[in-house]
Amino acid sequence: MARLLVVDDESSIRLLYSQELGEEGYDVVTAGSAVEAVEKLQNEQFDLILLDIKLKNESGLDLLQKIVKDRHDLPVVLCSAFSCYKDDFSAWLADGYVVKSSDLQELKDEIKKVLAKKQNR
Amino acid sequence: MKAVIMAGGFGTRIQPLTCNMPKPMIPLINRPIMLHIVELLKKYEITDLVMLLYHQPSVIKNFFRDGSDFGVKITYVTPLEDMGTAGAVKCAEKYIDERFLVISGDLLTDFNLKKVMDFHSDNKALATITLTSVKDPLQFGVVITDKERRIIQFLEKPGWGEVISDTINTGIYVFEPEIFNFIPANENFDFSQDLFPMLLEKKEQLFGYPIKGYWRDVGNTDSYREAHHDIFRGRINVKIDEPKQDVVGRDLRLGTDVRLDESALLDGTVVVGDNSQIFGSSQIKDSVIGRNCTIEPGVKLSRCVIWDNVYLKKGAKIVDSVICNNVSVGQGVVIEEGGIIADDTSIGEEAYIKRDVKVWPRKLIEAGATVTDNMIWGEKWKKSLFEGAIIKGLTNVELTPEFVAKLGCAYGTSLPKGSFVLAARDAFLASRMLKRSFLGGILSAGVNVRDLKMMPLPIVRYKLKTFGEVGGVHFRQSQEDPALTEIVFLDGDGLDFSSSMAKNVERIFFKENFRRAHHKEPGGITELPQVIDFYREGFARGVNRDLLKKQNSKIVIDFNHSPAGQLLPPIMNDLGIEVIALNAYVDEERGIKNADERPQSLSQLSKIVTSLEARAGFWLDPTVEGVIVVDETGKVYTAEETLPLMVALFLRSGQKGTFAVPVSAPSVVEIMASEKGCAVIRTKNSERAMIEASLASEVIMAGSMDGRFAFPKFQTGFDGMFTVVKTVELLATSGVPMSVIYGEIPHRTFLQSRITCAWEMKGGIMRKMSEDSLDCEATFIDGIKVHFGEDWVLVLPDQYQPFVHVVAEGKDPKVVHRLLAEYQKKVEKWKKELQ
Repeated sequence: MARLLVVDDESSIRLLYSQELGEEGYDVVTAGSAVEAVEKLQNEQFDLILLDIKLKNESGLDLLQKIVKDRHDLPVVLCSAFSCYKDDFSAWLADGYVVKSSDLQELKDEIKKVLAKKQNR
Repeated sequence: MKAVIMAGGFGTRIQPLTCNMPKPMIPLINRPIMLHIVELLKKYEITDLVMLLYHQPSVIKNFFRDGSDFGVKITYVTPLEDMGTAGAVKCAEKYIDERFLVISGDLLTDFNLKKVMDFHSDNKALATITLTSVKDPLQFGVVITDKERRIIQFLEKPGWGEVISDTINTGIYVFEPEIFNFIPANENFDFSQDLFPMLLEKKEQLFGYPIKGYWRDVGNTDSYREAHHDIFRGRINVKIDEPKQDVVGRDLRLGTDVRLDESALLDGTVVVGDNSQIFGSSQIKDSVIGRNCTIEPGVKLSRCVIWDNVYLKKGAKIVDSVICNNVSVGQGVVIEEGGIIADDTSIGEEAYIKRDVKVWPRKLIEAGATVTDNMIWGEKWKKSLFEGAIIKGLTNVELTPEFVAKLGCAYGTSLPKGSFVLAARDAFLASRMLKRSFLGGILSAGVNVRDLKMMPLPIVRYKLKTFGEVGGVHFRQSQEDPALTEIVFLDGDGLDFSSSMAKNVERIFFKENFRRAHHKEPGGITELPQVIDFYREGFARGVNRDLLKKQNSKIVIDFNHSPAGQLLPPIMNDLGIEVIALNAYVDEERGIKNADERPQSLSQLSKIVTSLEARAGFWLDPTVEGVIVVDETGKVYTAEETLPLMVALFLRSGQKGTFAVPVSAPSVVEIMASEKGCAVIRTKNSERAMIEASLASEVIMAGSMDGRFAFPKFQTGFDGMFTVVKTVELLATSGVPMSVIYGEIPHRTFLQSRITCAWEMKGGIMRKMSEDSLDCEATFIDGIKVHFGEDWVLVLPDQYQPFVHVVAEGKDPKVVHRLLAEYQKKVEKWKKELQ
């Protein structure tokens, strides 16, 4: 079972993702801030991180840079309400990009795709 | 009465039928077109002929000679330059002192010429133009006459809006000898453009005589085929040399010594020339077969014109096409309607020639190839477009803008609608031209393009690692030959196209099964200006910045005018490396250096490295994937020396991990790696195989045998720019000069050679090699590698070229030389046995 870390500052999103992705068979852990995420990353093992770009007073892209630097092999899927960050070059460091939507299928597909890609490596 | 036959044209519009013969000599039912004209003139008792020749006159002269064999008397006139139609006739003035008829040598007609001559005589005309009515008068000269048949107006090749009559000039004229007074000597003068308008203006006796009957200008290949159809349908009767057979219900004409099996199914009009053979159950309908042809069982011909010395193998299926002299058509070949296969062409088995394709003379079409476009200058039509992940071809000859546009369309069709691809090119104008055409094709399939413009391939690969694009293409000039352009296809991960992806694009291309976007939905082009910053960021993360900054190394790089010359120096300066950049400016008009210019460049680089006391020198290849390394003493490393050197640098700097190297790499790599507790993975020789191997997390470097290296911590693709900086970093870590590290590598002799070998023999050679290796310890990763203790020899067929490689390595130089020679001999012997 793949273990996911969902990093989002909105508790409702964290709850929604936990339930939906949990039903898909993933073991989902959540973090409400970059600091909390870093802490969890230091202490636990994950297979993929689902990362919101706009965290309250922090930037998901900064966290992404840190993750890529420290944990080169850990895939990150960016999840944002905005599509404009796709063209921000620091966003390209991620393995996937999903624009938040009420239909979670795209998110689920992207997670599957990125995990499959990781397995093939 | 005399006749002048105009037979001087170049026949440009009817190429490639006229590539090896003048147009009047093209066979129509196994006889030159002009012979049908001679027969027509004879029928009306015109036997004193003047032939006006210009293009390839000897071919016509050799056939007709003095005309006695054909019951006529022929005088030849060959103007020294193009004099126009009337001007050429003027050159024959001294042979003509009576009323005469002018006719083109490339007409097919059964007009009653006597009626024309009688009309001319009755009206006491100076000139009479024979007129006829046609459905489509646009391509001819329209003529208007009054009630007395006097010509009142000419309209040369009118538009539909201008058409006021369907009566056209047939190119058959009757003149009084006084006409020469109106034609200036030694001047280009045309009947329609100059003479007739002049006569009209001067109110001379110029008449037009409309006549009924069959008339066709055999001016292009469509008209040539249609002329045959008309003969098959009985619309015109022409003389056929081959005698008619007494067969009810069929019009069968057979020449002498024709062999025709009883099981052959013949239908409609079938003409078979002397000494031709038709075997077994061939099906032939409304077709002409020339002399000395062989048709094997199961061949199907419908409405075909086959010239002389043609060999059609079993099961070939040809519809409404022309096969010229000395053509061989392989088993199971299909030629669709409108095909023209010119002289001396060979078509391999199961090839597919699409509708209306014209193949120019002396071409070789590989077995299984699908030819969709006219094949004019290139020598060969390949079965597959791709060589691995690359499509390469002669710029503007094989890879033309229209060809690559179609290719772009096929590539776009293979991708999801609305998806994005990356596109980039090297610094050359040809690459830019072709890339632009290609992008048009992609957009037409509803796929978007992110255009990186001039950008090295490693950066394209690097961006593709991220999300956003489903694939990429890179256009570049070939290093082997500056006349070639290469298109590198990459998948969504920046890896080379897999063979299944390549096959998918090929299948769409050959079947022309394109997805055309709705007019509101074509793809768009955008740019990604931040790509370089993204690459630079990743690059800096991939090396030990602090160490590099501390070391302050000085190195020399020859950038070969590649775009890397603008990108790498700032990155290296940021890392504290002093770069002496050579040929760092981009020059779009400058081609890649020839292979023979390279030693001089390397020698210069070597001198500069030593004189500046640099830590190392690098010659970056124009694709920015590979490097040639020069050490601090000026030694230039060969590609097979560079791979062990890079491994040694890693080991000396204390890094642990696995190295991915091709099967042909020296085994000294394994010896060194195992001493330091590291491992080596052997891969196939293909670029994709090496890059795929480097995806494994334990791999720290993948190295090819041609100076290309990938460092998976940064990116899995080969990257010359990163190789340069990584080498400097490894040198800094080890703290020892490069020459010293190279000196520590265990010395082994490594030899390689290649032997020419026809494609069809490669399989046989490998079978024999495998039989020969039965009792030896052998590995079969790619080719066959036989081990003799620490020594080994590898026999490896080249994937894309007609070669077999023989590689040997060992401790004792004598043994290695013996091994290489022994296996070279074996391959040569097997080649002879397989012939």
